[in-house]
Amino acid sequence: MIHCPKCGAANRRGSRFCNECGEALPMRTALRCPMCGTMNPVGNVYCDRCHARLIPMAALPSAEPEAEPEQAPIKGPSLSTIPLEEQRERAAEDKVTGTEPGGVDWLSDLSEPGVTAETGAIEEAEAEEAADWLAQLRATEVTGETEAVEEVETGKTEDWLAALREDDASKSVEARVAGADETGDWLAEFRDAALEEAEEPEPAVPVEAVDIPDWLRDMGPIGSDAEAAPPAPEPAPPVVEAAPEEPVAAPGEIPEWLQEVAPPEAAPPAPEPAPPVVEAVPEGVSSVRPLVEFPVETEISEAPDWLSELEAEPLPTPAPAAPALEGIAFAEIPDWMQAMRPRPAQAEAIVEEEPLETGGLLRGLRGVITPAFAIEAPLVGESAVPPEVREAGLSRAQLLQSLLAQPDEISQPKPLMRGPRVSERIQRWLVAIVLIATAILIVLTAPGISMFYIPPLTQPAAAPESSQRMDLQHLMGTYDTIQGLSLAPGESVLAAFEYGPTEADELNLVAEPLLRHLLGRGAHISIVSTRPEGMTVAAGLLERIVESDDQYTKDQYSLTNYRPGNATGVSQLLVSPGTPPNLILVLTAQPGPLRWWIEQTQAQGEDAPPMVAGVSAALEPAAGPYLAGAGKLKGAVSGLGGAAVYERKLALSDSDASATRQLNALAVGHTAIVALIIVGAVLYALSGLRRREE
Amino acid sequence: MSSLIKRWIPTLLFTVLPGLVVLAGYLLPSNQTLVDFRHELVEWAVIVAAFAFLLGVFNILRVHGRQVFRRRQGWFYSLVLLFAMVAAATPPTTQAILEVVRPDSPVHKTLEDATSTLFNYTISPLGASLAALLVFTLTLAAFRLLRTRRSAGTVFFLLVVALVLLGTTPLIGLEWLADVRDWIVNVPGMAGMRGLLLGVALGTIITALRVFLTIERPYSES
Amino acid sequence: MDAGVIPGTFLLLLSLLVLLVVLILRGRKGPIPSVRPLPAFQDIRTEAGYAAESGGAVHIALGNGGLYGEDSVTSLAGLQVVESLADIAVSYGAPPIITVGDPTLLPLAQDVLRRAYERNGAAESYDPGKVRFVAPSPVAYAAGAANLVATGKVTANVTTGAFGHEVSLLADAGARRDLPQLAAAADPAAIGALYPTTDRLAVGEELYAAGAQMTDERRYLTSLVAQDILRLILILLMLGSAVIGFMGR
Repeated sequence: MIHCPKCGAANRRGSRFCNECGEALPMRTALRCPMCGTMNPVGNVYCDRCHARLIPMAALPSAEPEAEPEQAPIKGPSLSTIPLEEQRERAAEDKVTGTEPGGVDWLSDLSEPGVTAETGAIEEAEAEEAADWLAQLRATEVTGETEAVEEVETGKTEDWLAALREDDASKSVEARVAGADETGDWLAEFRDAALEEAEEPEPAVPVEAVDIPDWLRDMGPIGSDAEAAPPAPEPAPPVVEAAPEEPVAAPGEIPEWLQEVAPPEAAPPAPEPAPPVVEAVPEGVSSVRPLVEFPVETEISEAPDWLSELEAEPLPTPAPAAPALEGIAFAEIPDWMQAMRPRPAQAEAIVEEEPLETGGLLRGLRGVITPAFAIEAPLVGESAVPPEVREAGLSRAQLLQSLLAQPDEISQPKPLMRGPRVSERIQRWLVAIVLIATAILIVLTAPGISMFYIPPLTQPAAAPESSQRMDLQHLMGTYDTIQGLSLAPGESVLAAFEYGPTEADELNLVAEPLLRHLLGRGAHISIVSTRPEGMTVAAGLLERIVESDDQYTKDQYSLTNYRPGNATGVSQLLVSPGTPPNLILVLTAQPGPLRWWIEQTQAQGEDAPPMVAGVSAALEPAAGPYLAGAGKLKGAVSGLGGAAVYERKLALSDSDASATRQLNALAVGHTAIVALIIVGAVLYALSGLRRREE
Repeated sequence: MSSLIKRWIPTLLFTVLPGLVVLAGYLLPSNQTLVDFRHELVEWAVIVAAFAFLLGVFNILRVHGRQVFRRRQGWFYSLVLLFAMVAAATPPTTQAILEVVRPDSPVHKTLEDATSTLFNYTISPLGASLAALLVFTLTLAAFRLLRTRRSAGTVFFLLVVALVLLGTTPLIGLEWLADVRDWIVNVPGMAGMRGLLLGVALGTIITALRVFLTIERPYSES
Repeated sequence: MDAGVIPGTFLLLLSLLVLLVVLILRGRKGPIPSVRPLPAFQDIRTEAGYAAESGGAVHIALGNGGLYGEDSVTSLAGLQVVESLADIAVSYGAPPIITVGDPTLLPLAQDVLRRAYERNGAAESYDPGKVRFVAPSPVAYAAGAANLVATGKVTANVTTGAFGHEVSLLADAGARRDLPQLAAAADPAAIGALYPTTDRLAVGEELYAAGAQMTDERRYLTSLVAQDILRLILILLMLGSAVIGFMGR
């Protein structure tokens, strides 16, 4: 579960928004697939849904842990400023506490909250891999310690970076400086440093041995300032790292690579490209020198980890520094920027090929990509020769056109309409087949069809008057109450038919022996109901009963009243003018009507007539409380079983004993259902055990 | 003042006062005025409920008519429903109108037979068929109960179901199951049902009192 | 009403009234009473969110109870669920589909939904067709609502209100589509039918805790406290009478 950062509510994993407050949920503990957007567990390499790779190929963590290099202060205006002393203190603290060294506030802010160790490890691994190609750009120490250059692993060739270096190498410092008047202050510092550096050509210092890709190796060494190269071989320090003991180059020194791009008269001779073996520091190669060097007092921030882990690159020999320009102070150039020094040879070649920028921030540079304006000036119409169109391209264009031609409709996502699973279907069919087969068996074995006969599987209870069973005692209460009725002429029995066609299949069988008993005693039955369909059901049943036996007549019953309003209707039925009934018979399968009749009848106090009920088997527990003790109900017949016992008590003939005829079918049906329940329980219990073992 | 007029006076007049009157009519049956007033209010409620049926009919016409008109998924079944509704309502409605307009019309018998036929040969069997589906759905639910819930309580539940079913119509030779079933229904079953219904009654009283005291006002903004 | 019962009924109602008022007045300040979590109501909001994300709707079945009769309070409890859910669902742009089996509940349910739209400033988007009267007969209502669940754009099935055993049809339709099902029922027959189909089931008086659970309002929670106190008194009375009756033998 993901907890909302705003309200703390728990949300299902994978949710993008909080269900309580709508806040966007952070992707804390999962990896989002870049292709389909699905959230995947942190350990996944491939997306669970679309199998896209979640972790880049180069981002897999390397087997050998690398030693944590020291950090140099970031020399550059683009990063947040922290005093150098504070950086050093932090670095020392980080080392003591084991926290992420060189952690910069703005960098730590960039990292997502709640990143787990796994994601952090993966990010670090990614950073390490990314550092490989950036290793070439790592600056040497600002102080100019000589660094042994080691071979670097062959990384990916960054053409743009190579081209940029070539461009830089081919441009004169003066050209750049000339355009610096329009730059901001931060570039002015660069300019100053470049000019100063140009005054004092840097001696060649050996760079630390690092793994240098071929493309960088070809670039040759970079011209260095007066600082000495670090001793070799050692793990190359990061591009930007804290080096408190490094002597800072004098501000204003123009690096050699900038000197290369000075005006032709001031252009230094092109240095030779650096050899591939970099044990010895080639002449002219130095650690990456900043174009401009910041004064020590300048607030600079510490390098992030990924930068600090970068190794130095074998840099081409920088061009000699351009002659210093009076009045222009050069700023310190960070090491990583120094690493981008172009090779003088390439720079010269580019100088000849590419146009020189004469304005703007990039004044003096060559080979700059032409800017694209936000609003393109309309082309003056030259009819372009249409390119050759391939069929595939044409079909794609037509598809796009057809899509664009469709009216804009906000497409709503369609909910997944899941149908039943295969196992679900099998279960349904199994249950349906068994029940249908049972029903067919019941029909085929019904009395009268001599082809298929089965003996009675069950019998109604004998001697209910002496039984201890509660349902039989209640049944006898009903029988005794009806039997003890004194039915004078004009007195009637109120029969409340509180059921409809859906319950008629069971309740008609329950009501029939009771009505036969009443009709056999000569009672006049007034039929009432609070349900509109109750009257229709009652009429059909009584008509059938009367027609089945000659001793009954149609005058013995009357369809009196339908009263809506539930309990209120019952109350009004009871208080309606007329002779109060001798007995109230409630026939229902719902607890509500039974309760209404009982409560409204009892509200009449001592004048309340006795009440008996015919209820469905499911309602027997609900009727029980009214039957216990000096109950409000004198008796109740519940379900088909109770009706069969009542028919036996009345000694009805086989043709009239409808409930008894259905008893066999009920027994077969119940047995089939119980068998299905047992089969299902065993199946799922075994499957659960098997799953647990697995 | 506007809040008093807009909200509290109607609430008092149409919620609290009628509730008090009806309650008083139950609690003081000797006061015939209150009893008559209670009956009258309840009659009004019954009439309003009957008119609410018309609202229901209009709602059915609206929902299913829109379904048919816009040819949405299942529109044909909506059309069948509308046709059945009109067909089932026509004979009894016509008969009721004719009883007022032309009590001696000979069409009464025909309309009565049509209503009876509709009920006995369409509505009644369809209702019984739907009720019969319950056997299938309940059996299926019991069949896969152990798939969704695996606990001792579930096994006990299924055991009780089996005992009650077999005890309702015990097979010959297993009559003792009827006694088991009787005990289950009348002792733990009834006890549980009493407790359940007592709790429901408590909840009903409290909710009704909340409505009566206007603490809960489902008919207006809280 | 039976003459002997009247004084007892009157006393009971009066004491309940006083208890409720006192508790609600006292409960305005101080710690909010806590309610044990009921999965049937807790997960409703989550399901509304999923419905919004997937473009479907939550189906709420309010049952056959109307506004007159003993099922009216059960229906009102179900409407509390609608009221709490409607705000969230409408704000997500995924209003629920509500089905009723009694036409007297229809205008009230429509009104609750309409007010939710108005509170969210989307009064013009209100569609009265979202509340549907299915059928007055319980089994026919269950079958109609089941059809809606089986074929409509429903992503969750909430069953709260006055039901009988026919709710099994509705629950089966949801189980067939493997929909998340949340249910609350007061009738024992409905509880028996719903128990096998969902484990997020509120039983009996838990249905009346819907308002407290979903809104966390003090008035609902304090009324539950009143209910608890009354239940405790009843239990003590029953136990006492049982002991006395046993000793009397």
